[in-house]
Amino acid sequence: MNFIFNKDKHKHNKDDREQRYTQRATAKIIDKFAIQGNIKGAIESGRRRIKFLIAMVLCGFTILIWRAVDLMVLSHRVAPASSFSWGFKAPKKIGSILDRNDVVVAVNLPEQSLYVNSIEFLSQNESPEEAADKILSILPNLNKSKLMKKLTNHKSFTFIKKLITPMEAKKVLEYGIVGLHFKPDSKRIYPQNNLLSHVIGIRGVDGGGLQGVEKSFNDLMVNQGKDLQLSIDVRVQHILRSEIEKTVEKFNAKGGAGVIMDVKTGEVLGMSSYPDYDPNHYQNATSDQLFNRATKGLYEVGSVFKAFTMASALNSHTVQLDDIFDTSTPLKVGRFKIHDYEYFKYPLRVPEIFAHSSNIGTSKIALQMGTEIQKKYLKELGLLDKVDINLPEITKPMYPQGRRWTPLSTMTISFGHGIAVSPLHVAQALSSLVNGGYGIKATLLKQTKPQLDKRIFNQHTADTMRHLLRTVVTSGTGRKSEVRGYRIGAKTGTADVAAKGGYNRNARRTTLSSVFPMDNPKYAIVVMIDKPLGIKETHGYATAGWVVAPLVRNIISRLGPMMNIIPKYDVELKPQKTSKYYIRPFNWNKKMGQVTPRHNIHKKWYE
Amino acid sequence: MADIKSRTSIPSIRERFNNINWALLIIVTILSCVGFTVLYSAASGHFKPWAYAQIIRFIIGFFIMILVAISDMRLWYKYSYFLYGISLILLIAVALMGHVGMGARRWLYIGSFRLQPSEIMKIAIILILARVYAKTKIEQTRKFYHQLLVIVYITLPTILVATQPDLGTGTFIFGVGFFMLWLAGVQVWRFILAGVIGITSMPIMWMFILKGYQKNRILNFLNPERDPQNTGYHITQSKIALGSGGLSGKGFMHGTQAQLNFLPEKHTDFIFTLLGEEFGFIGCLAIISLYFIIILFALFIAIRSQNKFGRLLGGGIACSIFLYVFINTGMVMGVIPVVGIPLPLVSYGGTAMFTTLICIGLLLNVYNFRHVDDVKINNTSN
Repeated sequence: MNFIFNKDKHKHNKDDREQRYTQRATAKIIDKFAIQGNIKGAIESGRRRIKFLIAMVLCGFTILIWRAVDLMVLSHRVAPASSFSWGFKAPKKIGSILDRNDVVVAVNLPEQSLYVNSIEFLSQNESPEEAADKILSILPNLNKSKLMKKLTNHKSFTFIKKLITPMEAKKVLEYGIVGLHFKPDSKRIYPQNNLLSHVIGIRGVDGGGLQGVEKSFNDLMVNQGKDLQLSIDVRVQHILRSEIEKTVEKFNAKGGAGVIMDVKTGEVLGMSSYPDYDPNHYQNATSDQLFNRATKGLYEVGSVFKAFTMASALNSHTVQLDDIFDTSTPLKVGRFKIHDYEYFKYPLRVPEIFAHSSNIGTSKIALQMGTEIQKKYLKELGLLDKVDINLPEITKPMYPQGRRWTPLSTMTISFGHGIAVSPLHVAQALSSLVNGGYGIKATLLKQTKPQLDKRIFNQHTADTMRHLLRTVVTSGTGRKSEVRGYRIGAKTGTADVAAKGGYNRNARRTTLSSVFPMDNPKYAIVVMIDKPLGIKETHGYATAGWVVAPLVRNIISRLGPMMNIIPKYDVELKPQKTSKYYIRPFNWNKKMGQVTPRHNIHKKWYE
Repeated sequence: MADIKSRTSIPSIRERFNNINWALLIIVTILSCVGFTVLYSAASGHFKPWAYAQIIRFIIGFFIMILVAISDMRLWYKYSYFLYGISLILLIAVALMGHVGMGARRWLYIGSFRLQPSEIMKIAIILILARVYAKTKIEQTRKFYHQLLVIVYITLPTILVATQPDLGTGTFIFGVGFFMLWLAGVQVWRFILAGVIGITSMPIMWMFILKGYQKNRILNFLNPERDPQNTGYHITQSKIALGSGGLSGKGFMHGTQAQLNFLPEKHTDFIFTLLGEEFGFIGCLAIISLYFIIILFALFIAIRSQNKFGRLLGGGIACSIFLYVFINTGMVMGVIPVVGIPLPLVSYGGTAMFTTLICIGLLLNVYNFRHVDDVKINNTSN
C-alpha cells in the first residue's frame, strides 16, 4: 500500500485528501481480495479439471491394457517359439470337402515355399549369377534381375517363390545350392475346378473362408480340422452344370442357374450358377461370375408360382378340380389388364387353367382364395423368408410389404409376378408340393433319413398336384421336357424382366421346375435361364417351353438311368378323355363343332 | 520471511539445474533405450540404419532437453506468440512449396535439413494456449467471443495440417487444443454441445472431407476382415503379430512377423507391434506403465504449479503425451482407426524425438518454476 501514500506529495487540504485516498485504498484492497478469491477459485477449478484428466487417462490406459490382454493373452493363437532358431512348424491340418460319395472336391496338399538366406548364400557361392541360372532352369517364370536382387540383398530371409510343387522342390534340392531353404506350407486345391464353384466358395490366401461352405464351415474345417461331407453328388452336379452351360451358350443368354433337390430329405444334390469360376484362381473371377444366382439371385419366376397358388387353393377348399372359369377376355383390374398368351373361347376347368398356364384363370382363383390364405401358404412354403441353408450367400425374397400387398398384388403373385425369389426357394417349395405335402428344409449336408417337417398340404392335395404337374408335361406347356418312361411332372414359367417403370418385353427369364418320377416323386429340378434370345431352331421363341423344357429333358434322360430309376412304359399317367385331369386342346370347340354358350358358364363342361 | 521470498522468487540457473527431476529423466532414458533395442531388432540385428541414428538424436535431444529445463520460463511466455506465428508461416510455406513424399506435402527442405513444421506446431499450440489463458481472467474465459478467438487459434493449424494431408497430426493438434480449453475452464456444457455437433456433422465429413484412403481406414476399422490384402493389410498383420506374441513374446530378435517383413512401417508407427511380438504382453504392459508414470508426473507437476502458465503448460504436455500413446497403441491394436502417429521416444524419427524431448524439457521447466506466482511470470513482457 506504500505506493498509494508515496504519491501523496501535496500537503494542503490534507485531511480531505487523506480521507479520499483511504477510501480509494480500501476499495482497492477489497477489489484485490475479490480478485484473489477469484484466482483461488480458478486454481481450484483448474485442479479439479486436472484431477478429472487423471481419471480420464486412467480410463484410457485401462482400455489399452484390456485390449492388449484380449489380443495377446486371450486370443493368443501361435505357440511362442521356445528355441532361438528359425524353426517352421508343419502347417495346421485343414479339413477336406467331400461329396456324398466321398469324392474329394477340396483338399489341402503339402507344398514348399522357397526362400533364400542371402548372407549364408553369399558366404558360400562365388557366382550368384550361376546359381540364379540354375534356379531359373527349374522355375522359368521368375524374373532374373529380381531374382539376382533377392539373392544378393544381405537379408536373412527373402521368399523366392511361394508354393512350389514337390517335384520342383526336389530339383532345387538336387542342385545343392547353399543358402536356399524351404518353408513347409500347404495349398488348397479344388480338383473339380469350375464344377462346384458357388457351393465351395472361396478360401482366401490367408486361409480364411470368404464365400460358400468354405466360409460357413470354416470353423469345422480350420479349427477342428474335420472333413466336411456335402449332400452334393458330383455326377449330378456335372450333368446339371454341363446342360445349363450348353443352353446358355446356345441361346446367348446372360446366365443360368439350377438346383436339383431330393424331395424327401431336402438334400441339394446339385446346385449350379452360370457363369461360374475356378476356385483355384478365384482372383481372376469377375463379380458376375462370383455371384450365386441359385441362392442369392432373386427373380420373378413367372408361372411356376401357379403350382403354389393351385395347391393353396385346393388345400383351402377354395376351388375344386371341376370348377370352371372364363378366360376368354383379358381381365381388367383398375387401370391394369391381365393377359394370356392364348385366349380360349370356352371356359377352362382348373386343370386346364394350370396346364395351359392361364394368368387370367389363376388370378381369378387367387381372388377367390383371398390374400390372407395366399400369404399363409407362401409363408409355410418358405417363399417369404431366407432359405435356411448352410451358405452365407442367401437373401430374403422381395415382395410387397404389409398393406402394399393389395388385391392386385394377390393376383399378380398368383402367377409369379410382383414377387422375386431364388431358384433354391422354388426347389424347396416344390418339394413340399410333391413329397406328400410336408414342409422341408434345404440342406447341403448329407442326410441319412427323410427330414420331413410338419404338414402343409393334405394327402389329397399332394396327390392332385402330382397329377396336375404331370398334365403340364403330357398336354400342356411343358411337353418338350417329356422323357418317355420317366413320368416327369413340370411347370414352366416365363417372366418378362422388370425394367425401369414396367417390364421389358424383349428380355425374358425362363424358369422350369420339374419333378420326377411322378408316381413316387424323388427329385425336384429347378432351372432358370436369364435373358435367352430366340433362335432359328425355336422359331424365334425364347419362352420356357422352348428354352428350359428341352434342357430339363436332357438332364432327366441322363439323370434317370444314373439314379437307378427304372423307366415304366405301361404306367402311363396321361389321363383319358373322361378323366377329370383331361386337358382339352386349344381348338377343342372347333373339333366338337360347338361353341359353349356364355350363359352355360357355370355348368360342368361334360354335362 | 526470507524463506518464503526465496521460494516464490525466480530461481537462479544453478537452483534450476539442481532442481531437475532426475526420476523423470531416468524414465525417459529407459523408454528411449527400449526404442534403440527394438530398432536394433527391426533391422534384424544391426545398428544401421535405424538404431544408430536414433541414439545420436537422443544424445543431442537430451542436451536440448536439459537446456530447456534450466531456461527461464518467462522467455517461453514472452515468445509463445512468436513461435506460433513462425510455425503457422512454415505450415503455409509447406502448403505452397513443400516437398511431396508418400502422397502428402509435409516436409520443407532447408538446405539439406528436412523439417516437418507440423511437429513444431504440436509444441507451439500448447505454448500459445497456455499463454492466452495465463493472462485471461476466468470470467473472460467463459465469454463466447473469447472462446471463438481461441478456436481460431486451434483450427487454423489443424486445417493446414489436415489438408497436407496428415489427418493424424491434424486430429492430434485439435485434440490437444480441446484438452487445453478444458484445463482453462471452459464450461462443461459447451464441450457437450461441441461433441453433439461433432457427431451430427460426421456424415458431412464422410461425404465431403474424407479422402478415399481415409474412408477405407475407417471401414477397415469397423470390419477388419474387409480387405486384408490391400487397405486392411497393416492392421491385419499388426494384430497377427501381437496375437502371436502371447504373454511372454517370442524373444528378442525372434518375432517372425516383423523379421520376415510381413509388418510394414515396423520401425515407425507400428513399432509397438514389433515390441509386442518379441516381448509379449509383459513387455507391452511395462512400456504402457512407463508412459503412464510420465503422464502422472506431468499432471502432478501441473497441479503443484502456482502459476497458471505452468499449470496449463504441464497439463497440455501431459495431454499431448497421452494422445500420442493412446492413438498410437490404440491404432496398432485396432481400438481406433489407422492414423499415422508415432510412439513418442520409441518410434524412429528425428523431429518427433526432438519434439517429445523438448516437451519433457518444458515439463521440467514448469517443475522448476512451480513456486513462482502469476504476477512474476505475467509481467515479464513489459
